Amino acid sequence: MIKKFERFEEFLLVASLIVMVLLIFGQVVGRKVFESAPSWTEEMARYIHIFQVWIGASYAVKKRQHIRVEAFITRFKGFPRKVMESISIAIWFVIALFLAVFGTQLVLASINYGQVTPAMQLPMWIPFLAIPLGGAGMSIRLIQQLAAVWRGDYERNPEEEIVA
Amino acid sequence: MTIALLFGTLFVCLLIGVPIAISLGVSALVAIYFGSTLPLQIITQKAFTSLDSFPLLAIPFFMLAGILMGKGGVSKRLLDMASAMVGWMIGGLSMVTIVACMFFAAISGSGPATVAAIGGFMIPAMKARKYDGGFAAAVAASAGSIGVIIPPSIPFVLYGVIGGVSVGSMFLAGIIPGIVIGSGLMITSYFIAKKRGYKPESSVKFSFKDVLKATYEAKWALIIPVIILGGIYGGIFSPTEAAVVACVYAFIVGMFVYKELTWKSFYESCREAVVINATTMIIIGLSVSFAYFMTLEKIPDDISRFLTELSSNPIAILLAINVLLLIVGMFIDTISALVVLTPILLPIVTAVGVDPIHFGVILVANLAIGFITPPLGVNLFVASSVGNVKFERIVMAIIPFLISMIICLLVITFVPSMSLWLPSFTK
Repeated sequence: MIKKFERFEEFLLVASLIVMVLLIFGQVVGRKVFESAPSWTEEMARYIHIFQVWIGASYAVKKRQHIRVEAFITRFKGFPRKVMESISIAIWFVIALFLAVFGTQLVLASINYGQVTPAMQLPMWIPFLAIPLGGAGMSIRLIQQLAAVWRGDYERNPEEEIVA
Repeated sequence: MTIALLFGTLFVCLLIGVPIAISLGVSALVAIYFGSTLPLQIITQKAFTSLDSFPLLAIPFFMLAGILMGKGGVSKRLLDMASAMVGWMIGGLSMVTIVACMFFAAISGSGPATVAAIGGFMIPAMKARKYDGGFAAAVAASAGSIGVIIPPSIPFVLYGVIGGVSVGSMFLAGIIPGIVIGSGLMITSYFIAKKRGYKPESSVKFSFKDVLKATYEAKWALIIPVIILGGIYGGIFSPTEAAVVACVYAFIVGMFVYKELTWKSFYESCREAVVINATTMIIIGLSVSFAYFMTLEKIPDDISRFLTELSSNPIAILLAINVLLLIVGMFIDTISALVVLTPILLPIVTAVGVDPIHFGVILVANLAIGFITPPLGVNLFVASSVGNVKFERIVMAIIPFLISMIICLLVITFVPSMSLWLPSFTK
């Protein structure tokens, strides 16, 4: 079940990138070839991107891809390392939870104001939703990470290393 | 006091391995909560608004285009071309690595990606020819940093967005400095190769015909920089749109011309681009609050006063800033350094008459050196993992290349026309 959700999440992230490429490519072709381009493509690509970033950031927790200074911490193994990793995850958890809670407030406030986006006239709370969603996703992933660390699994898997 | 809180939290977090993005966010959170009357909501708002920018979208697209090109069989053609050009020199393979990195830099906007694409082939090849492993990895790691100087360049996009400078001008400004750094690295590697007796590639004899033939073979790759730069300066599209066109082009070439890209590797490329982009963007989203808080606390003014009291000579100020940036580059990644430092340093240098475009090149060149300085030198990590060389051995071997890059940096700093000459044609 969890595995399936992960595959779905991955698929959604990949699809969002492809949609962004198609939106903007379509806009270029529309402008150059048909001399008319819709005005909402840019805005839509921007908001898809924001969702992609915050959900991707939560996905990257699982894959241990966030950039950090490892020179000091990797000198430790066993119990001291587990303690340090746990403190680090706890600090991270504070920010993730903060984004989830304050992000939700931002969404609620925006619903009250009835703010809409300039081009698509979409209610503004929809793009704002990316922040609490990402924060909540990260919080859940961090709890899973904490459990993994205490099982002794705290090294980065070199096969999953991504470079770009 | 609040400042001590801000930097103290940052330092402790970085030390115990909290990701850089989170460290910056937590420091801002702690400092705002305990040291100011600002609403905390500002952090969430900035996490949204800082990413809500169309020019910024060029970053994920250039990432995707670079990855697609790497997996689509482009690296191999560029290597063949570089080999025909410089393989006959002393230390042939190290020369090929550097030149191939310069070409790949014209397709990719990232330093670590350039190391992976070229170093992945060349470090094992050099080791097979009995080059020292540390030297082989150091060549690839240092040459890979040219990836962010020769356009397209992700840091230039970010600098342009933050500093309000035209991304197109930044791209042009990077071309000559990138070639200068590449030449500097080639000279360094020549002397080392000569001392250690690394031979030229006996299979390669220099002939103009072979160079032309290899260049023709690589034509599909070489069209990319023409599309990107030509499209931007021809006024056909914006940098973000150019990046998207490059993605579509890379997909078509990899899938239908070279036929080395499969649907599976295409999916994998997109996934990689999304993850790398998310970890980059979240750094931007959270470090903006950190930078904002520093501005509120008038830290830029303090630094500015300190620097101008030190000297009113622009050369001395730039020198002091270079030292600061080199130190920062050792501990912090390029993206957060750009977000935090650009708003602080740009007003200081423009006040003493430095051109914003020139300063952008200096800033990014400094941070490019940060790619190869431990403890946080991303290119060193990548070279170590793709070349299977111990990190410590690369660190020793990188020193001559580091010195060479610093010399190039000083040249770039004190000869503004190197950066400003090409952009001057577009004005």
